[in-house]
Amino acid sequence: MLKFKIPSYYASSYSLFFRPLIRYQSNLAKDVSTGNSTAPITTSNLTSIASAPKLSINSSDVSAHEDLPINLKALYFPPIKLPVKYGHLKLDIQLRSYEVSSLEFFADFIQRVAFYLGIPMTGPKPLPKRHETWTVIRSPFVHAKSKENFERFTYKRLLRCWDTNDAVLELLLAYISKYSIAGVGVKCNLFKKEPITIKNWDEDHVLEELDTIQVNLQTNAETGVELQGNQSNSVVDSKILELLNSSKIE
Amino acid sequence: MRFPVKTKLPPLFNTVHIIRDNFKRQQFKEYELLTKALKYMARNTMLPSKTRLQAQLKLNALPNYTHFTQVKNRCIASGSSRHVISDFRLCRQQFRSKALNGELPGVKKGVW
Repeated sequence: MLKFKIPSYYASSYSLFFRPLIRYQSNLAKDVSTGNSTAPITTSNLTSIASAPKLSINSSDVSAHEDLPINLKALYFPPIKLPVKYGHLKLDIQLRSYEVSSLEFFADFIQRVAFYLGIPMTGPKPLPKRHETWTVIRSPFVHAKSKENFERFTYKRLLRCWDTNDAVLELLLAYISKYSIAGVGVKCNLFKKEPITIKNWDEDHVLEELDTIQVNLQTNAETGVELQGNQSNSVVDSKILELLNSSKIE
Repeated sequence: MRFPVKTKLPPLFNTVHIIRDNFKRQQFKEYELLTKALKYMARNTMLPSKTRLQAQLKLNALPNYTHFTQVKNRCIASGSSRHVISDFRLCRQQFRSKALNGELPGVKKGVW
């Protein structure tokens, strides 16, 4: 096995273009062991790949190894997006993390998964980051004028899936949750459309039916508010009745 | 430590004050329903005045540890009651030491 010592400044750099490098290394190392390798691996070659500022610039390095399968080669390029055809929004995926690097890496991974599942996906759209601050007294006792500041940023990304079957979306979500990484939270909003069924299609009946649907919707909206209040109160109500019926309070 | 009612001990770090506070929380949970019902009865003007008075008297007779005003947030690591940061349930000292050790994910020294 070939092992390369990775300088610390690579490890701290953007993991988005750092992760594929590891895969590339391991793949080449396998080839060396089987004796199939064509390209010589040198440290200078590797550093030129790793120190490249953007993924797209690596394409010249990749062209040197044209025997690579196309799916491996694709790791050196930004994820491919399928075009949105019908514009039906099916799924919102919101990612949250305290670090940008892990967030970007996971967003990249999800986009690649979506491409291979044939899901049109847009994003990652950066949402406003959340900034929390705390100011505490530095010492455990007195000296209240000397304070220390702490802060925490929560970064967010939004990915949106369009025009997809529910079963495929479930597969996507299952795959994402299976390979989820530490330190990145995922929140999903699933959107579903339901038909409005009208029983009788006569002109008079349709108007009546529409009226009843509207009335139902209104009453639902009204009672929905009441129900929310009542859900907690229903237990209290029964308790009140119990108290009123008991002999202690008349 | 003696309590009027049997209580469960809270998990993790315990001091007398944490146990006492936890006892009040448990008792508040137990009496919450009764308190709400009695308050409703005492304030409802549709009910006869005798009932309302009885409800009010019963409400006043409840022990102090059933009121939520008796509950105070405490640091889960030291039991201190002052300057408890509710995001982490830690007092300022514990918060600072943990943040500097890197035990609180994402929290860094603030520079602005």
